[in-house]
Amino acid sequence: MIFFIVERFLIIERESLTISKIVQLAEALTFTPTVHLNWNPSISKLKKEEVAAIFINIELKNIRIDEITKQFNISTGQSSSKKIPLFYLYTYENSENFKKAMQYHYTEKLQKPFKLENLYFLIEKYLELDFVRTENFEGKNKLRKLKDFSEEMKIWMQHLNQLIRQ
Amino acid sequence: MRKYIKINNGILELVILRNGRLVLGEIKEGFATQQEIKTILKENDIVCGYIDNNIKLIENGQKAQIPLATDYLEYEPAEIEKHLANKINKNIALGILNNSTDNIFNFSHKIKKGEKLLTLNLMPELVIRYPDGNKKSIKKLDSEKLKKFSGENTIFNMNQKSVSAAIDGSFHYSIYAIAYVYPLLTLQSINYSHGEIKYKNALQIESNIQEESRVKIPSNLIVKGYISCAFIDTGGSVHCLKGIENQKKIESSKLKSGQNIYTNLIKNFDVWAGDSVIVKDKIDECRIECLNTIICPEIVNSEIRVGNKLYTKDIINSSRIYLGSSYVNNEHLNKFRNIHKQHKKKMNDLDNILNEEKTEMELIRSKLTMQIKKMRKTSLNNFNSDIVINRFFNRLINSLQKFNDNIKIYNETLKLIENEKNELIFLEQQSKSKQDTEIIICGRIEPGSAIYAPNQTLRINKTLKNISIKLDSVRGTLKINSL
Repeated sequence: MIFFIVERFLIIERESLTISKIVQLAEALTFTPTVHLNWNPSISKLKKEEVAAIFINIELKNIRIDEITKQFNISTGQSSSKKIPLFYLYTYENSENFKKAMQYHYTEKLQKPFKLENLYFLIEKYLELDFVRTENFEGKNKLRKLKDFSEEMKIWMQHLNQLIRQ
Repeated sequence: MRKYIKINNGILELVILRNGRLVLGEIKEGFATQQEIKTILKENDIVCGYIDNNIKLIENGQKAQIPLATDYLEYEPAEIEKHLANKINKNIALGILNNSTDNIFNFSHKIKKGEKLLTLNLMPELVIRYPDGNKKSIKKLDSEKLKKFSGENTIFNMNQKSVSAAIDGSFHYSIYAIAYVYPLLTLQSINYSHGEIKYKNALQIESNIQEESRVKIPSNLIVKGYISCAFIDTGGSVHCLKGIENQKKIESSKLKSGQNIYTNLIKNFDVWAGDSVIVKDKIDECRIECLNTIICPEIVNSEIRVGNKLYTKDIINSSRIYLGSSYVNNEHLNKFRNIHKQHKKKMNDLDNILNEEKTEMELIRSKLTMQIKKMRKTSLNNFNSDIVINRFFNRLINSLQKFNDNIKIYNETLKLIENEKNELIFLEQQSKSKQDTEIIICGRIEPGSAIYAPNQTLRINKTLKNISIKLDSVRGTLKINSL
């Protein structure tokens, strides 16, 4: 049993209803949702260890599925702790983007609109959900991020100091 | 598992997932308020772990499926047994009403050194609480924390998990089950010329507590005569053999007892009791707040706020009875809740400050980077650039120092909030009664009286005899049955 998790659901989607569904379920299951309304280069800089699952609307313009599959070890079969599930969100099966997305590795595809329970069954299939919500979950998560930032800044300043001296 | 439940003008669909650990809900038709949804969930055995924000969304008209309740981690307080408590049950209460049980009024609070006061039957533990109220134990908590049950002049025995008296004296338990013992002091009488009595003792008064006296003690008070028009605040019980009266109707007259009040008569008094109020004769024109049980044969023109049980024979002359713990003010608990709220607010403020500081540092860093890039491009040792870089660098050092200090405060506040939350659960659990909340009237209740419940008011239009009025804790309504 794990009490405190910091993994996030990476959501790349524009439609607010779909976003709110995934966010609500992620929060109920103690994951941290991170939403991008469109493709953002910072996505490919995310650490692999921090991401639990990726939800991507394959109908969005300029979406870089190739970069995602390159960056993360995408699961294509049953649940595996080392691989990250990639879920495609789509509305039309015959669209150009859909056909293009099918060429890459992905875990499952989910047609919109979908019911929350269907989304849950999908997540349950590929992720271990032995988590429990703790009271100060958000506070502890924030504290960890702040400490990380402080540490990063300290290292950066040490480098800069050396540079200035040179 | 899927359930379809009828609501006011429609249907609520519940889907229970993760072996009961996650509950999804969707309004198929109609509309429901937050309170109605919570009531429906309670009636369907989903009693905790509500996600309030999502329930609010349903009230605001969200039609799609949404998580309503989930499991969470909780601190389960210890279960304790009080060895010397004056236990009141239905038979004893009826005996007092019929004048056949008298020994409860002679209850002595005396204890000898070494006598056991309480034992801990179940250790506190960390549990996962499921929405249906069931729990799964994760780990037992540190037994050092159990010392909090040991109050003044008592000893905590770690091996036996018990608390016993360290001196001879008078004992009492607080509403949170903490045991205390204080030495007993005997006085002849008290009046206003004594000023405020603030001894750290239990007091025995041989005659009366007279008008405008002020007594504030942490233990029990035994008065062999009357208490009249006085201000009394005790941590333990109050025994007043003759009666408590406020003949002059002085507003500052108030009786506050941390535990029980035993007396013959209460008249024109404002009373608060942490446990029970047991009166042999009658309560007349009083305002009484009691967290647990009130036993009194006759209630005349009074306002009674009772948390758990009221046993009486007759309620006459437009009395008002407020039934349920929500009507009884628990000052200590409210104070604690407010402090907890303040600390949460402090953490939010700190969070904002830290975010601002972080943004500021990022800005300085980007400016510094730009300056260095500029310097590299020109590949000259520019004197002005040196000054600017040094200035930015020093600012960054100061900001980082401040940022780290605030992180420390944030960490401390977070720990404080966690401890307070555990303490709050303990206090709430201890002050909550596990029995049904009800009024038992062995005689009659006359027209003009009223009984208030959170969601219903019962105004009496005709005389009712031999009835019990039970509070439905889920719906907040009243149910009348004949005895």
